[in-house]
Formats: sequence, C-alpha cells, structure tokens
Amino acid sequence: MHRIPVIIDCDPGLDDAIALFMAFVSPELDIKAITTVAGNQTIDKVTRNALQLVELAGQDILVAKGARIPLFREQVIAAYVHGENGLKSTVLPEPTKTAHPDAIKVIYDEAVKSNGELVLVAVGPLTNLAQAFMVHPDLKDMIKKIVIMGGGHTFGNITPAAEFNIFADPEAAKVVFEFGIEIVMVGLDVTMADGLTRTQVTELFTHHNDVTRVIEHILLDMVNGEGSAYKPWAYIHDAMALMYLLYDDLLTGDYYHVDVETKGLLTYGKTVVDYYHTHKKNKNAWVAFNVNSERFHQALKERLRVYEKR
Amino acid sequence: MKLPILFDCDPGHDDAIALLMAFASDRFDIKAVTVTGGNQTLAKTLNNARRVLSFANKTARIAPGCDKPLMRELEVAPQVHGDTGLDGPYLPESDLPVEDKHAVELMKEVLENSTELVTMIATGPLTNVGLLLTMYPELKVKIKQIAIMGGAMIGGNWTSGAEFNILVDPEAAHIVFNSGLPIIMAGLDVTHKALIYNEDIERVRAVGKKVSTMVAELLDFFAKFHHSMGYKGAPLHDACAVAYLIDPTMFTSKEYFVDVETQGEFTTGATVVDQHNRYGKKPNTTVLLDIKREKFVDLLVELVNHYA
Repeated sequence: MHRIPVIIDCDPGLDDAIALFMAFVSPELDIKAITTVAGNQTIDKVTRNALQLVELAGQDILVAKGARIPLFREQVIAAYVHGENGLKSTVLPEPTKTAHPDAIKVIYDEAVKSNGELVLVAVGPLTNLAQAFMVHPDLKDMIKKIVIMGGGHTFGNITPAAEFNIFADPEAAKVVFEFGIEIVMVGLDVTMADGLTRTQVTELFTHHNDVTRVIEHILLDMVNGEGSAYKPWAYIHDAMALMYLLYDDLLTGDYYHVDVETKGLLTYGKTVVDYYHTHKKNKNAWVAFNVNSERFHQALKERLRVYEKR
Repeated sequence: MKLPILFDCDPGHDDAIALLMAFASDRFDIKAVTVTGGNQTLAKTLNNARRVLSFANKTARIAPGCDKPLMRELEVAPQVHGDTGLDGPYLPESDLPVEDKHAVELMKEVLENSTELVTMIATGPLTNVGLLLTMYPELKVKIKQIAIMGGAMIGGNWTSGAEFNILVDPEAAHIVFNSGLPIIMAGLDVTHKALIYNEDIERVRAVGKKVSTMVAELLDFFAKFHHSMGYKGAPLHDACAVAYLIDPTMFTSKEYFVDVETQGEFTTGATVVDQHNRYGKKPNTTVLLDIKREKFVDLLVELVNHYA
C-alpha cells in the first residue's frame, strides 16, 4: 500500500487527541513526526500531551516542539474548552521520552526526504508552518498539500467571524494561505455539521482497555463542551481534517480564493472565502462545505474500535 | 392600517422596481422618498427616482441626500446599472419637484410630524439614514423599524467579504446597526434566492401595460449583467426589503445581533452576524435567510399589474 507521508502539526487538545488516535491506526498514513504548537494550551502542556498520547497508544513517533508564541499577536489559549492541562479532565502518566527541540528543522528535513510527497496536517494555529515557510521558502515546491483544521466560511467560534486556530495566529495563517502550497480547509462549516452524541460515545466501545477508556473519557468531555449555543455533541474538529486524507467521499467542497483578515476589529482572524467569485485572485484553497454523515460515523467507529483489540 | 414609510434609495434597477412595488402596495403610506449616491452618483440616482415615479404617474415628496459616504469616497456600480444608473428602458425626463432641503431634513420633518411610528426602507448605502440617526438621535423614538437591503451573513458580492451597499458606507451602516432600532436585513443570503428568471421577466412583460413593459426592460438589462456573471437569474435584491414588509410569511428569518466591520483589509463592510451569540448581546436584526421565490414573483407581477 502506498502510504502518505504526513507530519501532524497539532496542539493537543481534546479533538487533536482524537485525530492522533485515528492517525495511529490508519495504515494509509506514514506519520513522519508530530510537531506541536501553542494553541489550545501553552507549548509545554500541548507537547507533554502529545508525548503522553503517543506513549499511551504504544507508538514510536517523533514529537518535536514548535512555536511557543504567535508570530505577532498576544497569545490566546482555549482553556475554556480544553481545560488547564489541555486534555480537560483526562490525566495521563508522565511521558518517559522528551520532545525534539526544533519542529521547524523536523518539518524541513522530512520534506527533503519525502521527495515532494509530504502532506502537512495542521490542526492548531499555523505558527510553525508560517515560520517554516519564512525560514525555508524552498518548502513551497517540497510539500504536496496542507490539510488544515481551521477557519470557517459561514461562522466562527471564538468570535462570530473567526475560528480559534486562525484567530490564535491570524498573521501566520495569512502567510500560510498566501504561500502557494495547495490548502485543504476543513473549517467549522463541516466540523460543526456533525458530531457524536453522548449515547454514540458510550456505545462506541464494547470492550475496554487503557486506551479505549481514555478515548471515551476525552469524547465525553467534549460532549456539550463548546457551550449551549451548539448542539450537545462532541465535535471532533481536528479528526475530521485527518479523516479527509483517509476517505475520498467524506467531504465535498470546491476551490476558492481564501484571504485571512488580520486588520479587522470584528473580523480579526476570519477566513474570507470568495464565495461569489468577486475577484480573480488564484484559488488557493479547497474549502470543505458538506460532510457525508454516514461515512463520518462509520469511519470514526471503524478506526477507533481498532483499539478494542489491543 | 397603512405603514407610514420613509424610503431611502439609489435607483438602480432593483431600487426602481422596489419603489414601484412599494407605491403599488396598499400596505404603505409613503411619506417621502430620499435619495443617496450609490449605484450611481447622486445627481443620477435622484433623476432616476423622479423619472420612475413620473413614468408610473406617482408623486411623492422627494429630496436628495448625501452625495458621498460619511467618511469615504463614493464607489458606484456602472457595470451593473449602466451609465445612467438605470440603463435599459426609455424613461423621459421628470417634472416631479424636488424639495428644497436635504434628505435628512425631510426625514426629520416627516418623523416629527408623524403621529405613528414610521418604518424606514433603505435600499442603498446607509449614508442618509446613518446621518439622520447621528444628527437627531432623539427622533429614534419615532421610528418603528428599518428594513434594509444590504449585507450578508455569508460572503460578499463586491468584495469577498462585503455586500455593495454596506461596503460603500460601512461607517453609516455601523451607526444604523448600533442604533438600537429593530433592523430587518435583506442581505445576499436571501436576495440571491430571490432570483428572477427569463420566464419571470416574460410574465411581467405579458401584463402588457406601460409600466409593466418598462419593468420588464429594467429586468432585461439587470439580468444581462447577472447572466454574464454566471447567475441563472437576476437577484432582485432591493425588492426583498419591500416584499418582507408586505408579506413576512414569504420569508424565513432569524433574530441575531449584527455589527459592521469598518477596519478590515478584506472585510470592510462585512455585516458580522453573531449566529452563536458569542457577544452575549440581544439580537438587533431580523436576518432574512430564505424566500418562497414563486410567491415573490407572483407579488411582483401582481403589483406591477396595478399600474396603467
């Protein structure tokens, strides 16, 4: 089987954890590294969480620590969703390994080794990617595409107009969207179009072990975790971006030009999708607009239930 | 009981049709028509409003307002509305007298003299309305609601982030949305569903009267532009604000807090609709989201049929 070489750039993070758990058991992917970025929590916490998740799942994957602060703006974190430790009420054993200290070097080195095939799955603020592209402009021709969980065409979450990952580093997102590598934007339009009810979470596993218990616990923490304005579901945002790589029929969308607003008072961090084609700028992103619900639920079950057999 | 109306516009094909629909409806008592620059320069939009009313044998108090936005230069839309702002049909010059006062002063006079709450319809940039609210905030108590064509919950038509009317004068729109008055927003979310197809234009033409023929010719011109942009029909934007006041059951809508971006690089003029109550503010706007298109076309044909 041809395996897609990927680096998962993340800030675990509840939904990041689900994305990682799915990735670990997806034979379609050749996970070259996990790079971390401050976002849902501070860099030390999300890096520790990444190391813990890798070890819990029995994986031997390099974790490299990335950006501590956004390019330009003051730092914002999402403790209101992900708690003080970044995994809400889930407590994992301290990791035995330490992280590689330089995510940018890891991204560049893996891109060199992957002969243009490397896919970046970026499910946190885009600080690491922007830094990598600014330090190594030649990455433009070395990366196949960037799949992001971030942004939203129809609405935001941290503000009415902006989604958290973009809002947490709009200037970095602007660099990434303008860089020239094709972007797949898995935004709130799809990540909040479907999710797991409490019952669906509790019925996910029939046999339990250390890993399934953590997965269930994380998903239960996510149910209704984003406030009463939304349906009381576990929205597995980041995992949907990961799943895009695994299923051709999961998401539908189209190519658009997308700008990132970095000056607005109300719209700072908004991904501005040229939906009505008002200008002739290049179509730099494939924007996902619809989720195949049946495939979504089937895929989640199929992948996560692999852990029952461990 | 008829709704007393102040109608502020920048005709414009869809404004002209919205005006004709409003004047034909027995729901409204139109106290004044005020004009703003927008689809074309103020001189042209004023002339257009007068020519349309005269052609339809209607009279109204009419006054020109601001010839440019509050804080910006005027941007016009000749690619949509032509050099006159109302290209297409032959419309003779009008002898309808123009008030010797600014639109804002005419609106003030109407509001002061009205014993009932007045509904404002605004189908152009919100310059005149914004200026009125900022000059005479004490008159807000005389205003029932403001029905605007403008903005979009999703997307934009003049830039990727903004709809034309709000983009032209975002500061005025900011004043209006933050005025505390109830706003009805007929934005692109609904107006792009209020499409007029060629067969609908033929229905209008088949009415076979002087005004219906003129309206069909307006629609011909308006549709041509939109067809060239890849649309299957012409979104009859401004008529949605009027149609809502005549028959709200034709629409699907939701109450939201809406604010206006005035500082963005890509989003200046965006109407930011707080769909999930992130700001925790009380809704200020009825955002129109969907329309029963066939009922809308029926209403258009019915109202056009009112004229000789």
